[in-house]
Amino acid sequence: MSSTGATIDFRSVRKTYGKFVALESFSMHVKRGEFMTLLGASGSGKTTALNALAGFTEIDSGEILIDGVPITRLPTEKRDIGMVFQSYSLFPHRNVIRNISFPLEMRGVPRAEARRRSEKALQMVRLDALANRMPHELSGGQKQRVAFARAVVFEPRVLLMDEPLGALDLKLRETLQLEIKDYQRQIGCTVIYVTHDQGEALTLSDRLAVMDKGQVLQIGPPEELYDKPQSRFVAEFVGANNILKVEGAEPGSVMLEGLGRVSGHVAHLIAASFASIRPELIQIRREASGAHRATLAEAVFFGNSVRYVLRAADGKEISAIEPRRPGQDVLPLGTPISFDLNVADLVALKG
Amino acid sequence: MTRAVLTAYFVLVASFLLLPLFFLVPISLTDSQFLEFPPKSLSLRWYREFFVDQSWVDATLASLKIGVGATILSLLFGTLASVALVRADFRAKGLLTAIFIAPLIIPSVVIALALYIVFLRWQLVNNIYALTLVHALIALPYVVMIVSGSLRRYDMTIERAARVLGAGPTRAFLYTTLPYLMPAMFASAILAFFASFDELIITLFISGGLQTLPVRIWNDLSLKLDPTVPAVAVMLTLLSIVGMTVGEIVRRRNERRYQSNSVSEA
Repeated sequence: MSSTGATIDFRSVRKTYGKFVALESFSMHVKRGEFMTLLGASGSGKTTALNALAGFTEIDSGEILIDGVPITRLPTEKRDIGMVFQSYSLFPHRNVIRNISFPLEMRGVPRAEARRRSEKALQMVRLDALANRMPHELSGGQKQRVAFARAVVFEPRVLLMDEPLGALDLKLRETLQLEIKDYQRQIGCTVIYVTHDQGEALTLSDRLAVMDKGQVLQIGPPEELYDKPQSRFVAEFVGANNILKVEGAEPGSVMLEGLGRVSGHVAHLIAASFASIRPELIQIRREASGAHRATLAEAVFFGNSVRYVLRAADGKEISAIEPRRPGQDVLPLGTPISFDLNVADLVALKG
Repeated sequence: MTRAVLTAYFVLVASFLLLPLFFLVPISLTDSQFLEFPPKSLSLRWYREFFVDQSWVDATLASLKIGVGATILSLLFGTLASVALVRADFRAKGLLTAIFIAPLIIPSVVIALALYIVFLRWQLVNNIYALTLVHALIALPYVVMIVSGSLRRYDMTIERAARVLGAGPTRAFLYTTLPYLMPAMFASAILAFFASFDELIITLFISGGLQTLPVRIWNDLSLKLDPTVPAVAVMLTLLSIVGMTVGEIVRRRNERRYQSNSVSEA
């Protein structure tokens, strides 16, 4: 099973439901074979974008292209797209192998060949032993594997996944994330994946697009979105973060919430309204030797690390993650400590 | 205490509902010429009488033909109507739903009289096809109510999945939604069949010389009264019980498939 992925283009797509604007001048280019994630809260427009591409919703204006060919006038079944749903949506009256062969049956593939290809797809998801089971006899993880096999058995060039792991428990979700990524590499199709789980998005994607109010706020590889969020929304949505208000600026130094006056390499912060810094970039000092004073307000033990909430001099709470060595004690609450950070690690954010 | 009261209440209501059967069964088993309770001696004489008398057999066959025809017609149109009423979005939806349910609410006599006047003019009285059509009309509300109720609970993403995987609208419906609706259609088919099989008032007005089973019973009651009628009644009751039981079994088996396919269970 392999296919060359197609390119996908959204060109200023607009979709409204009554007064609610689901998508507004939504544009995006997805490369051949790329794993693209649309990340956003519910109502951000990510599912609408997916449904427009699949042909479940008609768009008001704009155009969607697969491999450069406009598809908005094509009915769903002619778009040659594979899709996996959160609710699995297996056909309850068909056993596993006949669920998987459905797309081939619809395409008039001869019975014997359809059977052979379906068995191969079932092997890929390692469920060969369950070929004759009915969907209601499968566990959630098995169902989603079958749904995945069914979505790729006809070698579509585009695979859409709508929160496919949303209904599964954490452990299973992590296993399936790795599997999905692995299958996609084998198959080579272009994937658009929709989720509200930022961890999942960071793990799976080649690139991800953070969406809010029907628009893309920022798009890029996971490292870039994690290291260089451009807006407060992205900084807060992707990974844990500290958002500090910029309270004043003059050449050579800025006043920051929680930190006070910070000088040095601050040129990038002068025009910003907020700055962010990741908890793991803050170093806790057990003595008063650090540049900033604080008291310990909260400590959460994770085994390999401890997450501390520090209360700074102005009352702002800053979270810090400290890697932990065996035998190292968790600091008691209320301990006066100090902390340091690298000014260059502060990221400038728009409002 | 509450439990005892509820049990007593249950027994009371159940006995009230089953009371006619309590008299009917013994009466139908009598050996006498007349209706008597309790019967002095038992026999299956009146059951035999039913199968031997050609007029009873003819009436039963007519009822069966009309019932099957009416069931098929009401099932076809009722299911299609349900799809439109549940899925399409149009102005007259509420009004149209009311019209489909109307035959159940409008008194039979009113429908009977109206049809009688029209059928006289169009010379459709004593026409088995016209009668079948009318019975389909009476059975339609059952189909529309049950099938559209089932369709409202249907997870549309299953049909969407079929569409995106390559099935056109018709095939997607036939391959996914129709199998889902089967038990509801089966249950409504049973109700539709008995709605037709039982129908007396409208049939009396427009059947002319045509005798269905209820009309035959009615005629029998007004002319003479022998224990064939209770025998027929007992057989009809048994038939209904079998039909309802099969319907319920089919419904339950199907429900399991869909329940375990839902997200919450995962």
